[in-house]
Amino acid sequence: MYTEYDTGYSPTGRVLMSVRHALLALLSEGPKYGLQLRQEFEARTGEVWPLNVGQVYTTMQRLERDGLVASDDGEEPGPQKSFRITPEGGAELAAWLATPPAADVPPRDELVIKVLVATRLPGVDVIQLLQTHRRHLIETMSRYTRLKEDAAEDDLGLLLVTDAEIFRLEAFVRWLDTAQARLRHRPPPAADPAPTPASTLAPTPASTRTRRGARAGR
Amino acid sequence: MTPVLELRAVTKVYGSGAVAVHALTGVDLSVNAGEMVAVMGPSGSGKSTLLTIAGSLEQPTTGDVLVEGTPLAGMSAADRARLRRRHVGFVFQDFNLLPGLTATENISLPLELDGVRARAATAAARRALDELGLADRAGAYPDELSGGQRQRIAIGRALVGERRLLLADEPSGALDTQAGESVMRLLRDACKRGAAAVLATHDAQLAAWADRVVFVRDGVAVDQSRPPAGPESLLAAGTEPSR
Amino acid sequence: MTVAAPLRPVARAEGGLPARRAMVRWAWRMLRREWRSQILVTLLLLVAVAVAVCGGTALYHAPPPADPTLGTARDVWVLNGQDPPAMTADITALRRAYGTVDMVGHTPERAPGLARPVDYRAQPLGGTHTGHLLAIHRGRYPSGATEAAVTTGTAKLLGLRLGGSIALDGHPRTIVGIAENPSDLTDDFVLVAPAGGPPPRSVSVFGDRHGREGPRLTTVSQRLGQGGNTDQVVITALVLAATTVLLLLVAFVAAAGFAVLARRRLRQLGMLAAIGATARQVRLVVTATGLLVGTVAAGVGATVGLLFWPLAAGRLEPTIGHRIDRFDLPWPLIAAIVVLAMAMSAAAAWWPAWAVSRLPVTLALSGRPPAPRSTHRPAALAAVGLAVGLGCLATSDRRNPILIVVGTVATALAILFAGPPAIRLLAAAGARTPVAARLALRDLARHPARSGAAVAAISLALAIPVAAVVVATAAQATPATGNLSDRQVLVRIPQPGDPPALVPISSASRLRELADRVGEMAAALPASTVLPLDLAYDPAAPPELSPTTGQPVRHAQELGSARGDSEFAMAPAYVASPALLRLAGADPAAIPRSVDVVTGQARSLVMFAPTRTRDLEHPPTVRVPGPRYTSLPDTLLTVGGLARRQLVPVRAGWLIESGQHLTGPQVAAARRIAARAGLTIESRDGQAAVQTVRASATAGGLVLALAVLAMTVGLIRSEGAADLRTLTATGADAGIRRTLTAATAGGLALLGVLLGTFGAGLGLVAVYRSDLAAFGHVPAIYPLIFLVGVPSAATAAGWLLAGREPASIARRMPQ
Repeated sequence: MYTEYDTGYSPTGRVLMSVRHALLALLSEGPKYGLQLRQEFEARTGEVWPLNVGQVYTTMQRLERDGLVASDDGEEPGPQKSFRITPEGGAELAAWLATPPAADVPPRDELVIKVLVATRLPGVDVIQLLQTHRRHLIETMSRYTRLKEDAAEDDLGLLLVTDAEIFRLEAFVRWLDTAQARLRHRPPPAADPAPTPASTLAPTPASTRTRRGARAGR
Repeated sequence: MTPVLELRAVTKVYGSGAVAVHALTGVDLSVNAGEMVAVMGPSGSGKSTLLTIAGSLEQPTTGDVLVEGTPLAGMSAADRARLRRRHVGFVFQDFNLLPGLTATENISLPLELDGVRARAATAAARRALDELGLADRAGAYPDELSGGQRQRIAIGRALVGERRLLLADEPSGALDTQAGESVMRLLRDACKRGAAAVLATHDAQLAAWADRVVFVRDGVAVDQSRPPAGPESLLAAGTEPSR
Repeated sequence: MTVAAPLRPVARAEGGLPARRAMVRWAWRMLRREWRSQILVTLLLLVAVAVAVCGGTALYHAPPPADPTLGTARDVWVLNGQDPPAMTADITALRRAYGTVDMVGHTPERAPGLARPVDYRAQPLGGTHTGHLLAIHRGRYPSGATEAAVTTGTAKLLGLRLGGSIALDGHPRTIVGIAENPSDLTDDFVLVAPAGGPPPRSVSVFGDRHGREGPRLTTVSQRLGQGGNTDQVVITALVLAATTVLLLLVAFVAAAGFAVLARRRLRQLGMLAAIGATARQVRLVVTATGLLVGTVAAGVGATVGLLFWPLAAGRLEPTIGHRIDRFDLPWPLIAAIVVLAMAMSAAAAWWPAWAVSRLPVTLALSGRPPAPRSTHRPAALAAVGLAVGLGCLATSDRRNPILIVVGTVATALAILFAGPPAIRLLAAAGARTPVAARLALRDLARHPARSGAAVAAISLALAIPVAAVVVATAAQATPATGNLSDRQVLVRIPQPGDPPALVPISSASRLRELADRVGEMAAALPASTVLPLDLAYDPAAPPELSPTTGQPVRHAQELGSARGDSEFAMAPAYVASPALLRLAGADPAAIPRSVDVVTGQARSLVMFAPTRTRDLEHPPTVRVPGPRYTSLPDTLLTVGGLARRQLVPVRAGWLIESGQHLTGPQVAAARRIAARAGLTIESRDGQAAVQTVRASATAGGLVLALAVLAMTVGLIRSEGAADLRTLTATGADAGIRRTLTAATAGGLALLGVLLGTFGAGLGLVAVYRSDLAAFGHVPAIYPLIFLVGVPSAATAAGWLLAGREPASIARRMPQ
């Protein structure tokens, strides 16, 4: 009963905000066609952030409207249309690079909210909940790690992106560990925490399994 | 196919009576050739005990340990030492190499302990150093090597000869990220070539290198992760919202 | 990395030679890297080996290489030279019978102003049997009838020098060399070439009968023989025994050092076990370290000892009175010492090796020290050892050597085992002391392995001098024992160097003159009495010749006590007089007339009657307590026995007894008179020797104990260097550091002194339980030095030498 899990730490939403600047950056190397832009974007981010063609053209139209890029001729938008960066575009790119990310705004994180809610609800095994999240986080980290492992050594973009994701995910795992340590000293409000059913583990290809042992004293 | 390491309902209790400490309770674990399993848990959760029991450094209070299908129960101390020489390699966090021996000699030591003549053992150690990319450090003493180099040599020593079970306790714990990553890559390579590895760690980044992660809390294996699917799953997760 | 290869069939659990070689190689590398930590143990071992080698070689050379009279010959015939053709015939007969024989001619010549005649000796250089009896010290061997060589002593007596001339026999001879008897540097003579000297009065023929019956000889006046020489064997055994005790002491310190080493390498050894080394291989690493330390120390120590040997030999020669061949080294003895040192060192390392190899691997890997062991077992062992030791010593009654050895060893072991419990007690007693002292004492208790070994070594080092002081005092002392009482002087007519049974034939006038001289000696002493001492001889036997001077002598009747199968130790018997009988503890009136012999000896005595029969004879004997002093006659021939055997008394000496204690000047005056008259005297000796033994044993023991103490305190404090840094970092000043070291040194010294002194004291009480007065004769300074001086010195030294700021507070012990 394994489910793909999205706690909000999926990268998709946040990436869109900076596609503008990524495309500007690509154009700063020289004039490029729309299709070429999409291919290079995906290659540089290690195909972690896929982009559809429509997204590219929408973004390019907005950039052109804002005067940050210019197209070569008055052709209709399409794969053959070539774009180049304007001086205003260059200035915008430089300003964006130097702008610090909005790290000081506390992210209203879905995982944090879920755990906070769980601690208030009677009858919920918070420890079990933390473990479930932890497992999923680690599984996601494993996939990124595998991606990193298989990446070519000179594929700098992919390596940087996977590193970033792994560190981000690890931060959540560590937060889960700390949360668990805090919960340990503060028992949940539920007077009778019913023993939670053991999570069903999918058999692995190597047909190994881990059996839950009796949890003495719990 | 016989698992390289098999733990069956292993329980370890230190002391007895009121002061008894249950380090492990009913742990099952099976590791196949080519597989890397991470045992993850906070300090004091029993993951190191699991490793020392798997490597025959300690005996379980109850339960069975099988290495390459051979049960360890009832083995004499000398037999267990031989088992460690031939089948098990240990890599510890910060202290692995014997000072006073060069890199080559550290790697060839298990072979020499097993009675392989010095010349043949040295040749095997040189080959291992070549594969580790440390051929130019062959004559260096441990205190002349960087931390990453030391751990790589420790892994080389853990796998020299015919050994297929690698037990690593926080192998990159004392290293910076880059050196730690190169150590983990080395472990992965060894697994791809057929070794089985068990990695005890509290570090999610390290655990993420494994095929499977077994979560240990208070001596009990509470959960384990699925082996990662290929990178496509990430693409899927990225392009479309998850269910 | 052929990780997928199939498993090799299991063959053997141990890795055989390659594994051992790898372990020894690692041990050697570690020793080279960390030699500083072993320098103390190595030095101690090195000094012990050097002392043993040098001292053992010296002792080996203490007995002369050859008997100073007989050389290496087993038999010497002294032929009378009054009938030269008969003598020549006898020589020919001897040569025919026994092959190689050496001849030395003697001609006594009177020298003006000398009581004793000077021996003109015709002796070739480098004889088969006499090679050790002649050497040319300077100059050259004389040749022809006009040359001679003299000994240094003769030259001094007669005022001669190289190039001078001597003419005691009427023929002037040029002195071309300074000769000597290397086996007896006091042997004085004039050396002449065999053909160039005066006609010999007697000729000594050196040969070896190999037990065969001899030819019939007409001119033989005396035959001397010697049994097999076992001195060297005895000395070798003694040296090895002493070396074993010395090395045992060192081994206890070394064991402490190796325990510290094993503790420091705990993690490495755990790693080794994790790699797959068996317990035996882990033991091998530590034992190999001990063996390597032992090998280095033994090798260098033996070399140092041999380098010092020529220096020592030069100082030794005048003392022991014979030349020493510096290149004649007792190689088997040296090899035994070296092997012993290596074995002791390896054994010292074996014990910590064993302890480490038994430790669980996980515990070793974590570097945690094993929990301190219970100290009840050592305490029980100490009690048992003490009980057995004291029991054996008490029952031995100072006679049974086996009981004495067993008792001594058991008592020593008891002292050793008493160390750990005593340390516990000390730490408990020090629980209320200031923090630094408390910390130091608790540190000692927490590591009983090294502190116990230290206490053991210190207490043994002190127990030996304590025992030596008491034994020497007891042996000395009482006015009732010794060679003579402090009022007696024994004057002898027989020449020194001659057997005591050979009494020079003196004319009546000469005897009168000698008696006058003795009277002169006695007159100088207050209220003195003179007791003449007579031997008895068979007038039917022809006179013999003195082997040393060649003078005619009477061979007095001797009594023999069986020494071997057909060997007898012969000693002359004095003629009984009422005074002598009383001295021997006999009541003159109670001696039956039928008795021939009165003796204080326990063994049965036999008598040879040389002229009439070769048979043994057991004379009628009465046993008496014997004289209190060893040099007084203890075997007497009764007047009745003299008559029955037709023996004639001959004056052999006098016993002078003063009314008061003899003073040094009185003895010196008597000696001067005796020397002028050609007499020898003997007076009470040994006082100075006892004091020397006592003082040197005390000094040696103190030096040894303090050296051991310094090294162990150094070891223990170097281990505690990390604590010291922490202390310093938390604000401890030099005073705290000084207190720490001083308390460690003082505590160890106090325990060592108490255990050593009381252990040895109890053993000695058991030995001398019937004669406890001996303890009262020990000067009070000795117990004071041991019981107060040593702990005070240790504490003071610890206080003075500590206090230096640790080099680096932050730096930890390197891994």
